[in-house]
Amino acid sequence: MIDIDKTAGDITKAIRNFMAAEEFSYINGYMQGIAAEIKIVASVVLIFLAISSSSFVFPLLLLLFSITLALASRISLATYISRFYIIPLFSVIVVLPLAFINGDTGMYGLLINAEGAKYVALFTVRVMAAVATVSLLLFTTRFSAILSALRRMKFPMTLITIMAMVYRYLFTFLTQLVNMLLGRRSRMVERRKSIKGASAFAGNFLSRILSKSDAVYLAMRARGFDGSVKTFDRKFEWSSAGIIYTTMVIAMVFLWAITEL
Amino acid sequence: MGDNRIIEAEGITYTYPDGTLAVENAHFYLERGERVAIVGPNGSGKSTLLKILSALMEPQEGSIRFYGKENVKEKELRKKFGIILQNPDDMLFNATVMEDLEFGPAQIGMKRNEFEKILEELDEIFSLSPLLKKPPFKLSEGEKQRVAMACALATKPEVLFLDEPFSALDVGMKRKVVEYLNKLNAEGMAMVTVSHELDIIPRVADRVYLLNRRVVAEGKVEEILSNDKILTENGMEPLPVAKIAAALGMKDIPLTIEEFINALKSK
Repeated sequence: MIDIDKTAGDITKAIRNFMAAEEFSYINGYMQGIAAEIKIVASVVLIFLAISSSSFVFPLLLLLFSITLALASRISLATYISRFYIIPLFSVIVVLPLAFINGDTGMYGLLINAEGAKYVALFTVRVMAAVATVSLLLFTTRFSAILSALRRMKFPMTLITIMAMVYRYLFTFLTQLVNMLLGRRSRMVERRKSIKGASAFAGNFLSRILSKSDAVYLAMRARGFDGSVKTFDRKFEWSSAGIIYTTMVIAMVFLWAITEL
Repeated sequence: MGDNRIIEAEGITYTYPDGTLAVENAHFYLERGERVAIVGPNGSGKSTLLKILSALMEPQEGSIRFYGKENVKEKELRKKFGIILQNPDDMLFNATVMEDLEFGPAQIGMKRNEFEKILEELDEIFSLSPLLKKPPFKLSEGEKQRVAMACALATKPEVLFLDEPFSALDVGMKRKVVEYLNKLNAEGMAMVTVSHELDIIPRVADRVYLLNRRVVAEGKVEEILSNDKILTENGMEPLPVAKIAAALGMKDIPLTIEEFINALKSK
């Protein structure tokens, strides 16, 4: 049986939390003062190094590095970790069987493959470090600044427009879902769990989303949207925070080279 | 006359795909700096007509001329038109209020420093500062309406289209916003207001179209809003102050409380 209220409520909560993270990009913190271009390039480099690490040292250092920068950017540890802990958890589930395939060492009645277990741990730490890096970028950079930076970095316009549209329509999706859930709850005496109810809710939701997306498109056109989303150009500037951050990232690259090469 | 006209529409008809006839053979014109209202009951086609007049929708029948021309590029019109849609939720589609405010000016190519000046002015009227960093879905209905209005005004439009713009505003904010809109009008901005509530119309319009799918009546605000018969016949409730004045046998029907008090004092 499907509890549509709980499922939809959980989705709504997750998206709201994700969207609310944008508020941190307005705080006067360390990473917020760095140009989006520097953060994007640095994040890509650091993620690449993390996923290509064969030892625990670099991913763990990167995790520590990201947490320190998040704290310096006035993001509380609990808020920061709550954003990305779930993805490494999923990755553990995906690779966990490797720890037991051809297991030879007994532990609590289970045969564990030591190499496999090490890989599971390494994979999880890599994912954690990579997701922490991306989260830091998203927490401390306004979405419009990311789009503007990507445009200046000559990313394909189609890709940027798709990103912008997807991001925008998430709000429509969210508002509709919240309104429908409220309307449903206001007329319910007890929670019903049925596939029929869930499919009717989903169908109604999709048709509403369709008509709402038309309305949003009209509103975008009303404000000058002509097929490509423009944002105010934010001049690229080297701030002292940017120079220090770049130096730290270069140091991280050297650390990776020392531990891996 | 022609040079002064921003919009000139004739024989406008629009039927929705489900067969609902929204507007039939309607006409309309708007001159530079004018304040015009379109009033009518719910479902009378006001919002549809407003979308057609603001070039968001094309009529199936009839002709519409903008600035005396039939074929004007939409991009050019967007630089001159500001539109406040009926549902503020449709207008606020960005991650934060600040990004929503920036959206219109960025699309029309406004310079950042110009936008910042406009934002300062809008902040004074709409009290935006505490809202700038918030995601729109966290705002109250009144706040959403304020932000939606500010979004439309952020491009410094030459014509402002307002679709039921004051429904969620409290009395104090409504007064402040109306004063500001009239100040912009005095500086040259034309206004087209759509509403099914008549009490605000005398404060935001000089000329009125009464719409009930067709244009039933057209004229000066005082002519249309004091016409008890035509309003009632078309599903509109005449203004209480006008009803009282008519019952008291006043010749010049007041449309606002202030006019009513002045009329009583002068008796």
